[in-house]
Amino acid sequence: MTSKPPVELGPWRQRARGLYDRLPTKWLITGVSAVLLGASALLGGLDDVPTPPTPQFEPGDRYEATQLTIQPESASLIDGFPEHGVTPAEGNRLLVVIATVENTWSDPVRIATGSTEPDSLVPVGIELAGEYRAPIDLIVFGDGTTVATVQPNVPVQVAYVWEVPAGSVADGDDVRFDVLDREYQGEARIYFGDRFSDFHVAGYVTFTVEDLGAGVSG
Amino acid sequence: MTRPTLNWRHVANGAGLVVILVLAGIVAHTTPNDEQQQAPIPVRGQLGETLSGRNIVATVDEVRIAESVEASNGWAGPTTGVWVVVDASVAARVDDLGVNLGYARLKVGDTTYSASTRPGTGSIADQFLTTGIPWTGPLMFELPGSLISGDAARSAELQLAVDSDPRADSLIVIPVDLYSLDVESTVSTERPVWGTR
Amino acid sequence: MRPWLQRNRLGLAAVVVLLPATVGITFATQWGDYFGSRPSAPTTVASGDSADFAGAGWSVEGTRRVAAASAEAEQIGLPAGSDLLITTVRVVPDGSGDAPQCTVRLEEFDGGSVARTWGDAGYAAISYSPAEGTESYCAHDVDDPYLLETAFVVPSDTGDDLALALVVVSEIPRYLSLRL
Repeated sequence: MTSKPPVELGPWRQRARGLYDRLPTKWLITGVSAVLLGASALLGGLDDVPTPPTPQFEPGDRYEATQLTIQPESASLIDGFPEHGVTPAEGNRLLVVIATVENTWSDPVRIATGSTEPDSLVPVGIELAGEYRAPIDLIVFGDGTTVATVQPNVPVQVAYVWEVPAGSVADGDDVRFDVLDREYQGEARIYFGDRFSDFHVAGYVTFTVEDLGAGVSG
Repeated sequence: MTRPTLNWRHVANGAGLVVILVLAGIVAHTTPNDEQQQAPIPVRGQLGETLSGRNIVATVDEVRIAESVEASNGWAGPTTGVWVVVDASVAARVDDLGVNLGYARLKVGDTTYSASTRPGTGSIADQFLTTGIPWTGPLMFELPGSLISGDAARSAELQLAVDSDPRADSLIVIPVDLYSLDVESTVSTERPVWGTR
Repeated sequence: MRPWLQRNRLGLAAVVVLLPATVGITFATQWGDYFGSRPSAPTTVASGDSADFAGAGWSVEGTRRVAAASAEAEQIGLPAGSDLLITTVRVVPDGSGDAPQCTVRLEEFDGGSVARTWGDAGYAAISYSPAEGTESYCAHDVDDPYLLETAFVVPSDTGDDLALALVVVSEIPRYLSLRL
């Protein structure tokens, strides 16, 4: 290849070239970035993304979670369910939430599977007996058996039962219950079943707790 | 350069390549995926037939549908749907270490229903099994009432397997026509019995 | 040019040796783990003999079978069509103070291989009480010899070619197969 001699530049072009070479490019870029960030900070661009507020439900509203539709109806405080074998320890009472649960999935769903983590409703802000926030029992309202599995499209009325120390909830108190939901992530390959994300709070409902004394029958 | 000549070697190479590509395509398409590799092995039969899988021997005698059930232990469970009561006899075949009737499902269309454990000792759901000695008793499935009168109910399937994870093991599959069964108002079930009938 | 086979004889020889070796080693490592973690290597003890295993000596003292339709069967409440097989094993701990805990299963043989197995009827709904002076489970902190009695509820059509599979966790994959 033959080499060509460099092009002769005119005098002002030469000076422009010289200036360009002496331009502190790194400084310029940093400076422009700083100005842009500062401007966006002024306009609120560096603030936290506003999280949408947790939706509030009314007692009796139906919330459609991924696998279940939960309709919490009422919350009450009772001494125990002796006929179903649920009796709290001395000095504790039972906080009971009646809800209608319907499985909208195409397979039977095991609810209250986690003995330590709750999976549909969890009371917030009140003291529970024991260290776990999961209900101590989930009773089918009709026959008093513990509901382990909810069948698809068969609504069942259940009682979520938590054990609370006697003083933590009183008649007329407003107690907030978070409704939990999780997303379906696909089929599990190592074990048999489906994979889900962790539970997150999908909403909350506040009940005015009614003290029913010794409890109702059935 | 000289013009390339087409000779038989080139044709053979090309044909060989095409054959290999076709074979690779066939292999790629017929390789079982994860789901197929782990799928349960179905053992199909009819009501009344004794069906044997690897470690399960089951006979399903009768299927009834009712709005309410009275179990032998006194349990009478209410439901907003209907109860499908299946009378079956199940035993392990070769080994009973930790073996129970963990998978008892009724499949209607795309939805599956599992045998209810609410009757407790009144049903054989989750019953621990013995090699060669069957447990005979009812299984109760809770279904929505509207499903029984739908088309999918004609080709419902009862699926039984030992262990709640039915993958890669025998699965007893029995077709049941739920549509043609009358819905009784109440049925009572027998006590689960251990032993050959 | 020498023929292709001759030119490549070293490579072909390597393939002939390495291919089966690779397949063999891969299978051996995978299946070795599998078989090594479960009781898979029985030491057969003929009827009447005794064997030392896991810190104790074991021998079958006796076997008794309660037939299905007998009066005793009705008394015990055996399920229909089943027999009760009661085995007594004499256990002699060797004095090292570490008498083993064991699991016992009954195996039925068909030809040379195991056809069916049963677990003991400890939790079954029958009213059978173990004989006086026998233990129902392997005693852990015992130095004196004792009799281990195990009862099995088996179908009446179970044959007579039976063995007790005695598994001690620390000895897996080896286990003792005591012929009855």
